[in-house]
Amino acid sequence: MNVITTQGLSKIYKRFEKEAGLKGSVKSLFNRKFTEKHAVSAFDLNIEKGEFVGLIGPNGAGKTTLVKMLTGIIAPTSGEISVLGYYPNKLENAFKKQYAVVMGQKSQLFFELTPTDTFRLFKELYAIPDDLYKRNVGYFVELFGVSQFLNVQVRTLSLGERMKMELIVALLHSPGVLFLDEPTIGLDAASQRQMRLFLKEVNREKGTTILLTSHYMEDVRSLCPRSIVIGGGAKIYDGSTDNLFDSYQTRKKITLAFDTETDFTVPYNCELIDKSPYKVVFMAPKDGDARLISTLAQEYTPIDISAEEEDIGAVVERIYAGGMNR
Amino acid sequence: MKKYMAFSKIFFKAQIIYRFDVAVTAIEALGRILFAWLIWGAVFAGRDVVGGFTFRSMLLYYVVSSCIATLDICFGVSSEINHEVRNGLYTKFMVIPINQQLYWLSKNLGVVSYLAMFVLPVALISGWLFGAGGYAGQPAAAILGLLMIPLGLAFMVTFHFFIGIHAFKFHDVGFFIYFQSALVQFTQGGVIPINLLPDTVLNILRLLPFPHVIYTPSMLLIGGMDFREGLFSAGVLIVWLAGMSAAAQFAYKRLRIKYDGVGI
Repeated sequence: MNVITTQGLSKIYKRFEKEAGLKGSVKSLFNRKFTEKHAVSAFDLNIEKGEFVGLIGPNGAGKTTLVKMLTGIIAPTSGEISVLGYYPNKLENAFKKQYAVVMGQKSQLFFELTPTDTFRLFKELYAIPDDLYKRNVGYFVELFGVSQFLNVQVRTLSLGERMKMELIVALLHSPGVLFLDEPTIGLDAASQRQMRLFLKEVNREKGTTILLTSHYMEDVRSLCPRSIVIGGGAKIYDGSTDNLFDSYQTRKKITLAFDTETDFTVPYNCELIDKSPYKVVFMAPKDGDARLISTLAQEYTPIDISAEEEDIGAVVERIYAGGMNR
Repeated sequence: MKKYMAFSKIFFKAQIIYRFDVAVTAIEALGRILFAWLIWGAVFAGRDVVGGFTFRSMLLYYVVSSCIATLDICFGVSSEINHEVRNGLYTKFMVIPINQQLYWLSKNLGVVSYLAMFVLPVALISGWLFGAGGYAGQPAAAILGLLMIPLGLAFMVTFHFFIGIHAFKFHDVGFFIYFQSALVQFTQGGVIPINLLPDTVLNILRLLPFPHVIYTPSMLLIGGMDFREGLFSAGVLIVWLAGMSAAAQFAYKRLRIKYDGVGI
């Protein structure tokens, strides 16, 4: 059953433009010029109940605009849209009670008060019955391991602790759909990992449909079986995340270390990254890397050889740059 | 209604977090009496009556009206909405199941309840100090004056909500806020008691809501206005409140659709 459906969804923004300098500013007072930006163009999307979907795209690709339309914050210019059976931009309370949004840079917490104060407020806002409230608070506090922070001022929490509290606030009313916009932004590696574990657990245990927008490809790769790549407002990929990375992650990083000075010749079809008499790093095609490593081991007798997956950032750049044509 | 009471409660709690702030608010409230004594003492030097007010009745008017003015914190509503809309932060209010206008009303109720803890005792002390000789007005007028305070404050919050949400269309409503604040302060009697103004101006002002937010309740409370006149003012205020509420709801529904939040 689809919980999110869009068909031919488009959003066109009008943007004010002016020439540089004082003359341009004065001129624009009398003769204002606007240009149109197609933030989202003819976007078709179907997301089923319980799915965990990643929305990937560079800055200005239209990800946030799409999420804003799905949550009802802005109205589409044209096309059809339905979330949980509602037209989002009507912003009916019955609709808003069934979803939640966590935006990395927009907090719902009251910074001067404690997380518990905000939890209690949201209990009233969403008319959460006492037993469900207690059950959910207990479940999430244990899952996130934040019991020691419940009665301290939010202002004094670290970013990671605060994000966990934001997530609890969002999940208290057991939303059917959760929109996550950059939930791990600014978090250190350990907190990011922890956050991913929690989200995976919530999706599995509660059956919450999650649409995740993130610049951290590791978020998408480890959490979302399905990915949607958006570029220039259009959908350029919609399918398995593994397939996406398999298609674009075509190289491996090979590192060889030597105990004596070695004059290394970079193999055919490989790209040199770094070279010294005792160490060499290069990129090699993923296909046939095992054969290549074995040949190099015989030829150079290195003291250590490692082969790592290509840096995810580089893969992403290739996805964005090449669309589906690579 | 329970959820809006929860908002009032949480904003009240947020006010009493910092002890220093609470102490300063208390001192400021008490300082009002001393300030009134000094200012109006200078104005009345050598005179018994100014604009129909004796020194004591003027002091009482000043303290009561400034106490009500302290409770009128609605200016923050339009400024905050303006800021949040401009910076794309208003979206956090749009995605939770609340009526926007009631949210701002309940937020203000929370903060006003906190401020009332300080200004109410000050108003009572002033009444006792400056109202020597007993209360000269009608008790019904005083009750009406008390009832008009929340009505007036509700109107002002609604009015500022109405101004603030125009940021959805104009992106910045700073000018509107500045212009209305000067106008409102004057017409509310926040600068001088408005009965010092010519009759023609007074008659026009009586049909506006602003004088009935601070001036009319103050005059009713100090016994300077009779019940019938107060009733007319309360009627004007109620009509304006109903009209402004309807206008604000209508404007919000229309204007939020224009909101694009480009680049945020």
